[in-house]
Amino acid sequence: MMEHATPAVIVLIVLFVAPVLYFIRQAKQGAEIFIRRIAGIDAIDDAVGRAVELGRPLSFTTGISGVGPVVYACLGVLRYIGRKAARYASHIFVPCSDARVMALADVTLQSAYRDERKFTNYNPAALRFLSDEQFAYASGYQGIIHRENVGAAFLFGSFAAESLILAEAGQQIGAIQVAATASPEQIPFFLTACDYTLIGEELFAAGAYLSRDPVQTGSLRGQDIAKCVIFFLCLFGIVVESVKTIYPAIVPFAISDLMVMSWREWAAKLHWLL
Amino acid sequence: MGGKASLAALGGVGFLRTHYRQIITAGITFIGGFYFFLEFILPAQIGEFKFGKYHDQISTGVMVVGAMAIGLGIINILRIHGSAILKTSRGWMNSLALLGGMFIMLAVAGSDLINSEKSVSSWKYLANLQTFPGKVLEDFQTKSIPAAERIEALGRFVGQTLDQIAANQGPLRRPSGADKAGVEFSVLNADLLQAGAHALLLAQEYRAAAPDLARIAALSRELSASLKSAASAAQKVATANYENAVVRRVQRLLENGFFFPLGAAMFSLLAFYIATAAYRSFRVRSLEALIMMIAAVVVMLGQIPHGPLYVWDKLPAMRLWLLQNLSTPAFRAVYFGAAIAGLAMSVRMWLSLERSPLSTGDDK
Repeated sequence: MMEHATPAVIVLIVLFVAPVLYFIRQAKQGAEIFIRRIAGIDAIDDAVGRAVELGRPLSFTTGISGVGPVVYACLGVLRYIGRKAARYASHIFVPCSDARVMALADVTLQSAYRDERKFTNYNPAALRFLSDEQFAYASGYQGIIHRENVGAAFLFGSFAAESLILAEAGQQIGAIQVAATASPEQIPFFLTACDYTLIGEELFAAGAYLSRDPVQTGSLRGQDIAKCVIFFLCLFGIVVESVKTIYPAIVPFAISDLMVMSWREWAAKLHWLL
Repeated sequence: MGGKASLAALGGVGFLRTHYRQIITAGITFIGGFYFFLEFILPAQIGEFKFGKYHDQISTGVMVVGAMAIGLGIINILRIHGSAILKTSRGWMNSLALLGGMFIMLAVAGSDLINSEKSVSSWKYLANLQTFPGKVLEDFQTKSIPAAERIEALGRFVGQTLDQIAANQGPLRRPSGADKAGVEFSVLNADLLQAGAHALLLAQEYRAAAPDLARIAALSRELSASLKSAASAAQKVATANYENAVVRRVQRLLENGFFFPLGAAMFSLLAFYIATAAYRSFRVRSLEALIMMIAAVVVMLGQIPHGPLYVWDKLPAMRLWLLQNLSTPAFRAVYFGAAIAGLAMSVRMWLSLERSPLSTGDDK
C-alpha cells in the first residue's frame, strides 16, 4: 500500500482535481451544465408516489457504509426522499448498521422535515439502529421490511454479502426498489432483485441530479473530464507498451516504474536527460 | 490528549449558534483534511519532523467520537424497543427478546473484560518487576540512592502476592484440576518463596556497613531470575483461571452457541436467494438477456473441470476470455468512475464547497 504520494501520483491528483474545481467555479458563475437522464433517479419519484398511493411506508438504508464520501452522497438522496415523505405525510424508516451514520441520517431527516415546514410530524423512531454486525443487520432489515410492509425501498451505499438478502426482502413483499452502490461485486445482485439500479458513480451523481446544486453539477462535469484523462492515459499506456514490445530500444522504461519513482529518482533521471 | 481535544471540540461546538457552528465545523474539517493531505503528499520525514507521530492522538480522537456514537445506537434501541414493550405493541415479545439478549451480552462481555484485565495485570506486575533489582543496583552505584528500603518493598509485594495465593483468591488462585496449570501453580509458589528469600538477603547485604557489590550483583541476578520465572508461571495460572471462569464459559456459549450460528444461518439464506435471483435474471425477455444468459451458461459450464457436463474442451478457455476481456474491464470502468466520484466528493467535503445535506434551509 502506498503510504506517501510519489511525484507521478501528485501529478495525477492535480489532473483529476483541477477540472472538478474549475467546473465548480464555472457552474457557480452561472454556466449551464447538462446532466443526462438517469432512469434510476427518475424512478425515485415514482417509487415514493406509488408507496404513498398504496399507503405503505418508505425505507432508506445506507447498508454497512461507515462515515465517508459514499454516505455523504447518500445523505443528499435521503434528504430528497425525506422531503417527499414529509410533504405527503408518509412514514419512512431508516435502518442503520452504523451508529455514526444513524446520527447523520437523523439530522438529515430533521432538516428535510424542517424544509417542508412539517417538523412536528417528524418521528425520531424512523431511525432504527439494528446492529453493526453484518448479518444481524440484514436480519433486522428483513424483519422491518416484512413487518411494516414497505412500499418503496431505497438501498443506497456500500454493501457486501448481505446485499441480496436485503434486496430479496423487498422483492418478496412487492416493494418497488431502487438500489445504488459503488461496490461492483454487489451490482449483479441488485440488478436481478431491484427494479432500478444505479451503478458506481451514478450513486454520487444522484445528489447533483436531484438538487441541481451548481457545486455538484459542476463537480459532475469535472469528473467527466477526469475520466477522459484516465481514458487518454489508458490509450497512452497501450501505445507505449505496444511500441515497447515491438521496438524495446525506443522505450527504455516501464510505465509502472514511473508511478513509483521517488523525488530523488526523478531528479537523477532528469539530470541524466539534461 | 486526542480524546480530550475531541470531547472539548464537540462540547464547545454544541453550544454555538448554527451559523458559527457551521463555520467551526468547516474549519475543523479543513484543518483535519489538510493534515492528512500533507501527510500523503510529503515524504515520511522532513529533517527532524515526522508526520506520523500525531497519528495515535488523532486516532484516539476519532475513537472517542465513535464510542459516543455507539452510545447513541444503544439509546436508539432502548427507545424503540422499550416503548414497544411498554405499549405492548405488535411484536413486543421480539423487542423483549432483543433487549434481554442485549443486556445479557453486555453484562457477560463486561464481566469478561474486567476478568481479562485482572488476569493480565496479575502477572504483568511480576513481569515488570524483573528488571527492578538491576535498576536498584544501578541507582545504588551511580546515584547513591538507598537501596535496602526499595528491595524490602519488593519483598513485601512478593509476600502480599503469596498471601493472596494462600487465601486462594484472585486470578492467581489454585486452578481447578490437576493438569498442567496445577504444576505451574506449584512452580509459581516455589519461585515467589525463592524471590522473597533473595529479596531478604539482598536487603541485608545493602544494609551492611561495607556492602559486597559482587555478592549484591549475584543476588540481584538471582532475584530477577526468580521473578521472571514466577511471572511466566503466573501468566499460565492466570490464563487457565480466566479461561475456566464461569463468565468466560458463558461468554463462549453465547458467542459460539448463539451469535455465530445465527449469523451463519442468515448467510446460508443466500444460497436460496441466489437460486431465485438466477432464475429471474435468466428469463430471456430481450436480446440483452439472451446474450447475458449465453455468457452465463458458457462461464458456468467452463467452470466445470470434468464429469458429464464437461461438454467441450474449448469452454474453459472461452470462460477465461469472457472473464478477462469483458467482465474485468467493465468492473475496472466502474471502479474508475466510483474512485473519481469519491475523490471529487472528498474534495468538496474537505473544502466545504457544497451545501451540506445536514443543514437546514430551503434550496428548492
